Amino acid sequence: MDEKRIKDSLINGQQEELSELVNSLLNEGESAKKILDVMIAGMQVVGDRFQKKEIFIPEVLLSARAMTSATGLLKPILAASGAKSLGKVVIGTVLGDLHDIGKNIVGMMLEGNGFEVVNLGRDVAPEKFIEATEATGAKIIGLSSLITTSMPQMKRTIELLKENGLKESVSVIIGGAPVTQEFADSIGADGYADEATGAVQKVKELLQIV
Amino acid sequence: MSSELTDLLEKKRLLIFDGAMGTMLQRAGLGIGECPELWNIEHADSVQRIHEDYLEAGADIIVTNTFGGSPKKLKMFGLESRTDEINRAGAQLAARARSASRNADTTLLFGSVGPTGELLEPLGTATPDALLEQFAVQIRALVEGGVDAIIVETMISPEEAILAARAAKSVLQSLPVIVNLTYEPTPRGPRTMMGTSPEHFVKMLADQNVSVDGVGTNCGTGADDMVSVVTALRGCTDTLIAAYANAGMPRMQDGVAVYDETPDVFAEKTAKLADAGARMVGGCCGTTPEHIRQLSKRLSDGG
Repeated sequence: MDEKRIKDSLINGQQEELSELVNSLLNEGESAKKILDVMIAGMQVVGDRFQKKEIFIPEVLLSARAMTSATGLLKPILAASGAKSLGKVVIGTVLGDLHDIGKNIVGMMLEGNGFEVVNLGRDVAPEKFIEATEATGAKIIGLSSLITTSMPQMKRTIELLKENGLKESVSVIIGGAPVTQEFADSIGADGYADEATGAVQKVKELLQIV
Repeated sequence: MSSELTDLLEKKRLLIFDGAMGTMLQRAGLGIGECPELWNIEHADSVQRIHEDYLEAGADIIVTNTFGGSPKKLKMFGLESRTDEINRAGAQLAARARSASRNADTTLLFGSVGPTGELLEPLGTATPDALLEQFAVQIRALVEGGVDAIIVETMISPEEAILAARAAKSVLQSLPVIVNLTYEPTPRGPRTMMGTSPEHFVKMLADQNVSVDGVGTNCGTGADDMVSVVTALRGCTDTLIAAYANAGMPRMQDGVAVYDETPDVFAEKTAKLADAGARMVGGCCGTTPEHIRQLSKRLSDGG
């Protein structure tokens, strides 16, 4: 398997090329799990470059899109072979906040790293987070906020988790431009990251995935 | 082209923008999840009062409460059908505040146009034509309400910013337009979240033959991090430069955002933007009439 070619087409956001490559590898009998691992490593490069501000939103979105469609080719095979996702993560932008670019990037990075993501969209009420968490059995909730006026809804969501007796079994990570570690501590969030790669790392830590 | 803006620039070396609208609306009681622009109708007195406070503090330019006034943005509150009414009212409130001011003759009204929240193709689903129409609808209402110019603010997508500028000129060719992007510092200099540098944006405007009356930057950072943007713009264009920063970075306290930069520190830092070549300076998130008062004082003391 030409790992470099897979990584390069992923990093360059070449959706069709990557999918064709994956298809032909599968036809040659390559393991779906191995292909996925190479793509995950490629996505980590994308995340690192984004974190270092060497690349920006357009490049990340194009890579993530290429990753999503190529992963779609692998999913049926992985499911048939009994491979499990690393875990479910419910994400959403909190009530009163209509921004979702950053949250979607985090979602795609999580998927790219092998997690199953339930994306509730934007302007999501605390009750909706609770419902989705109970319905899916997710162990992680990711809350996003870009405007300071919506940040109190993060606190409200965590309080509602407590009221529903879920706080012990479910971890909450938060992020967004005005959000800080200090704020995360003050509202009892389990994790904070200032960009998408850090969010993936935080989820892994919380689920104790090495 | 002569306009109220160019006339005023002949009389004054520097023009001072007002400060934050959102911060002041929150203090006046704007709740979470409420549409700020609807206050132009339902709490018109509060909005007018904020404009008056900024004028009294020394602002030469007041910016309408219409940042999220595009049909797409209003649709998120179910208010798309009231786009005309909300934007026109925003302009009229600013005009009313100006009439009551003793400096009415030397005050300008800028109509605020912010991002639609949509991503253009191929990253998103919005088409250029659709966004052009969105902006034109909003800007037409602002012009009918009496604004002197349009300020396209807080844009991260240069393409969207250019569409807003083109929409303004399509509504009224003589309407002055200033276009501000939001930059963040990176190891290679300031870039928008889309990766655009100030120089590249100026080049895009020239390549696409879009004539604007000013370029600049607002929001995202404190004034410290904006000096490099103004310097970069100064190095590549002769057009007017606008710059207004946040009062530092926010921290949360008891569920509300607190911007810690005091008015005198803010004024000192913002004066450096003027030194770097910005002719229009003021305040963004977290700034108050007191910040503008100190800025006005600092700039007149400093010559």
